[in-house]
Amino acid sequence: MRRRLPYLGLLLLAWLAATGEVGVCPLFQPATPEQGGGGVIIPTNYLDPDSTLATLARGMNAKANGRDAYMGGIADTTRDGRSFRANFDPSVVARYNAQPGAVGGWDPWGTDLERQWFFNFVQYKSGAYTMTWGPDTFHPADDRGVDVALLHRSYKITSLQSDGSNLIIAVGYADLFFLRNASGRWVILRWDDRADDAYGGANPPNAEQVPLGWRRLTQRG
Amino acid sequence: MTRIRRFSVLLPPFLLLLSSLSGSGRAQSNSARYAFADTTLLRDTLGLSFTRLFPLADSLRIEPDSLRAISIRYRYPLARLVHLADSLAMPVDSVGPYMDRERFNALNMTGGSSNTFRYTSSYLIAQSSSTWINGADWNLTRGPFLLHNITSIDLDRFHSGPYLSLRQTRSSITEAGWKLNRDVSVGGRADLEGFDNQDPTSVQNEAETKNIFELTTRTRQHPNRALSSELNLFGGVLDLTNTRQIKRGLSGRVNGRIRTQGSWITQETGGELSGNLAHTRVPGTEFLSDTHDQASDLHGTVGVLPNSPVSFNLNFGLKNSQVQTPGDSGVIQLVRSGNNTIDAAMRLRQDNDRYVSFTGRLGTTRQRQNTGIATQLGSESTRRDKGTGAEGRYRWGNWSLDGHFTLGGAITEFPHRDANGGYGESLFARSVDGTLTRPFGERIVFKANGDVTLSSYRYYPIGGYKTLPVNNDQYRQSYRLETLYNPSATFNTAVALEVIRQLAINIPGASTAGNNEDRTYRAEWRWTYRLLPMLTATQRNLITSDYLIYSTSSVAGTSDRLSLDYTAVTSLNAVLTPRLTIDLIHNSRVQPSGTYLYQNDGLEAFAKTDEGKSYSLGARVAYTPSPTFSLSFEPNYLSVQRAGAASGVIQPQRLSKSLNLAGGVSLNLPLGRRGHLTGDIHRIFRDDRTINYSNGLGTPTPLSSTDFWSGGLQLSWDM
Repeated sequence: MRRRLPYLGLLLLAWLAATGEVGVCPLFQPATPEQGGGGVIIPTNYLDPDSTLATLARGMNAKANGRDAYMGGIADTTRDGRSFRANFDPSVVARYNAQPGAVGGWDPWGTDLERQWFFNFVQYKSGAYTMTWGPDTFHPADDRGVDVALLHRSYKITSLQSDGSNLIIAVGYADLFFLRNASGRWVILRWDDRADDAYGGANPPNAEQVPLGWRRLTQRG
Repeated sequence: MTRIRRFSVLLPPFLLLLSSLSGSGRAQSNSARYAFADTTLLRDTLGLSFTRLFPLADSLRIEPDSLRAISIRYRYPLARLVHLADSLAMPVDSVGPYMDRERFNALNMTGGSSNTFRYTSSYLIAQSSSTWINGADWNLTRGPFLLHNITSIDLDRFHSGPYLSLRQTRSSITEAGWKLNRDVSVGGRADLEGFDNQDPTSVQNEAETKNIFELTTRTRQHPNRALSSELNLFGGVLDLTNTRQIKRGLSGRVNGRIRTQGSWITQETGGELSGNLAHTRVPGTEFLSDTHDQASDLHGTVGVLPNSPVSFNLNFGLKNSQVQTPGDSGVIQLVRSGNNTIDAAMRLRQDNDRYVSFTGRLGTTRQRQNTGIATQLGSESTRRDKGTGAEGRYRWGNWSLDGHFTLGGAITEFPHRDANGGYGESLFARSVDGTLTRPFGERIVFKANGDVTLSSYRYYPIGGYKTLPVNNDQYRQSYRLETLYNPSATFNTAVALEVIRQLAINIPGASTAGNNEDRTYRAEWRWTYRLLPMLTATQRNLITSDYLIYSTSSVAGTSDRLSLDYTAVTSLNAVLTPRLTIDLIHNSRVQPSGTYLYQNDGLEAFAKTDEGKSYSLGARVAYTPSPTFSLSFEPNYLSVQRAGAASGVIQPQRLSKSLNLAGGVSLNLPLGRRGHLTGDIHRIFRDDRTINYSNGLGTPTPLSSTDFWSGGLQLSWDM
C-alpha cells in the first residue's frame, strides 16, 4: 500500500492540474464576468412541481432574461441525469408535416432544442408575455409521488399588443411528468402536449391560438 | 484550433499516469467494478434472462439498460443478440432493424415451401384514451417465389371532455420476389400508408395517403471470401395526397453496400440514392408544378487490426436531401438539408481492464428553406462541430481507474432570424471524469468518483441583428466517495458523501445580477438485511443541503437560499411462498428551505420560509398460481403538506391526500399451439382531496374520485 501512495498522489495531482485547482491550466476555469451587476433577477423555486411551473411562467414572462429560470425546470442530462423530452399531439405533427417546408430533425425533442426554441419564441412578439397555468378540466386529478409526479395542466401565453389588448399566442394542455433529481429539484422530464379543442385543436380558426407543440415545431431555428 | 491545443496540456500527465501505473497486475476478480450496479436491471421479463448483463454491456461499450431494452424490444436473448451482431459484423443496436428489413429479401430464402401467417391484436387502454392495433404478417414461399406482407392498422380514441377525437394510421408493405439464382431476384413492392385524424372542433381535419408501387431488383456479389456486396434497384410510381399538396409522379432508388473482411482490416460502406419526378399541386387548385426531390446517403465504417493491441476505427456518414413542395400561391419552395459526420478512434489495449482510446469527431449539419418569394424570408441554419477526447481504464493490483476526457466545439449559425440578419453561437464544452475503485479484502469496496464540466456559450451577430443571447459559462464540479461493506450474505451497508458545485455565469456586466453558485452536499446511508430466509429489509437515508449564493451583494441579500432535504425509504420484501410475494414500502421526506437575513451587525441568519413534507405507504401483493397467470393488488397512500412563511410565521398552505387502489391480472398465456395472449390489465380506483389554507384557515376541495382501466393485452395467432 505504501508503495502505491506516490502513484495515488500523482493521480490526485493530475486531477487537480486538469481542473485548474493547481497550476495555470485554464481549461476548466470559467470566465470572469464583467463588473456591473445589472440585469433582471427571476426568482426561482423548484422545490415542488407547482413551484417549478410557477418558475417556468416567470421565466417565460421575463422573455430573454428568463431563459435560465425556464430551463432550470427542464430536465438536463448533466444536472439531472435524464434528458427532457417533448411529445407532440399527433394531429399537430400531421399538420406540420403537410406544410410546405416541413423539416425533420426534431424527433426526439430534447433539452437543447427546448433551449434554442425558447430564445426564438420569446422574440416572436415584441410585447410583454404572460404565461398562465390552469387546471385541466378533463383530468382534474394529479398523480403525485415522492420522487415522480404527473400533473395535468392547461396553459395560455399572451402577448401585450400596442393597443393594450392581449393576443393569445399559445394555448393548449400538457401532461407533465416530473422527476425529483438528486438535489431535490423538481424538473419536467416529459411534456406531452395536447391541442385545446375549445380553440380549434391543431388547426384553429385563429392561426395564433395554437398549442406550444406547434410553436416548437415552427420556431425551433 | 487554439482551444484544441489546450488538450496537449492534459496529455502528458495522463500518459505519465498510465505509464506509471504498471504494478504487479496479478489476476483477480473484477467484480468490484459491478459492486454498485443497479440490480433491478437483472429482473426477469417476458421470459428473457439478463444473466451477465453488466459485463456484457461493459465489453460492448453500451449502457446496460440500453442493452436490456434492445433485448426486450426484439425478443432476442442476450446470447443470440451478441451472436447475431458478431456474425453480421454490426453493432448490437443495428441487429433488430436489419433483421426486420431483410425479411422482405427473396435472396434470403433457403428453398422449400412454407406458408406462415401471424395475426396480432393489441388493445391498450388508459384513463382518457384507448388504442386498438391490428396487424398481420404473412410469408409465403414456394421454391424460388416469395410473397411477404406486413399490415398494421392503429385505431386511437381520445376523450377530451365532451369531445372525442379519432385517429387511424394504416400501413401495408407487400413485396413479391422471384429468386432467379443464388444472387439475383426480381419482384414488385407496394408500400401503402394512410393517416386520418378527426377532431370535432378543428377547422380542417388532417388526412394523408401515400402509395408507392415499385419494381425491385436485388443482387448480391461475392467474388471472393473476403469481399461481398449488394446492389438493389427500385423504381415505380408515387402518389401522395394530404391537406397541403397532391404529388404524383415517378420515383426510384438504388442502394447497396460493399463489405470486405481481411485479417487486419474490415470495412463496410453502404449508400442510397433516391429521387422522384412529380407533378404537384395544392388541393383545390388546378395549377400543376414540376417538382424534383432527391436524397443521398453514404455511410461506412472501417476497422483496422480490430483484435490487436493497437486498433483503429473510422465511421463516416454523408446525408443530403432536397425536397420541393408548393406554397399556398403555387410557388415552389425548396428545402435542403444535410448532415455529414466523421469520427475516428484509436484504441491501445492490453486487456479488458487496461486500455486507452483516443477519439476525434467532425460534423456539419445544415438546413435551408427557400420560400420561393423574393420578399419573404426563408430559414437557414448551419452547425459545424468538432470534438476530441480520450477514455481509458487501468487496473493496478486491486485498484481500478476509469477516466474520460472530452473537448467539443460547435458553431451554429442562424443568419435569417429577421430582416436585419441573425446570429451565431459558439459553444466550447469540455469535461473530465474519473472513477477509482478498490476492494479491501472481500468485504469492503471503496469507490471515488469526480467530474468537471464547463460549457462556454458565445454569441455574435450576423448582419445587423441586435437581440443577441447573453454570453455565458456553465460550470459543474462534483465528487462522490462511497464505501460498501458486505460482512455476510445476509447483510450489506453502504455510506456515501457527494459534493457538487455549479456556477451560472453571465459575462456582460448588464446581465450579471443573476450569476450564482449552487453548492450541494449530500450524505447517504443504506443497508439491506435478510431478516428471515424469506424476508428482506432495505433502508436508504439521504440528507441533502443545497446552498444557492448570488454573486451580486444587492441580490444576495434577498435571494440567497438554503434548501434541506431529509429522505428515508424503507422497504420490506417478503416471499411467503414461491407463489405469493408481498412488498411494503414507506417513504418519508421533509424539505425545509429558506433565505438568509442579513443583520445590522453583519452576521447573517437563516430564516425558514417554507417547508414540504410528504409521506407515502404502499404495498404490492402478487400471487402467481402458474407462470402464465398472476394476480396483483397494490394499495398506495400519499400525503403531501406544504407550509410557507406569512408575517414571519410558518403556516400551512396546502395539504393533499390521495389513496390509490389498483388490482389486476398479468397474463403470459399460450392459447393452444398457435396462439399467445400476453399483457396486463388493471382497474384503478383513486380518491384525492386537497385542503388549501388561507391565513391558517383550511378550505377543503370536493373529494375527487376516479376509477378507470389501465393496461394492454396482446393476442398473437400463428396459422
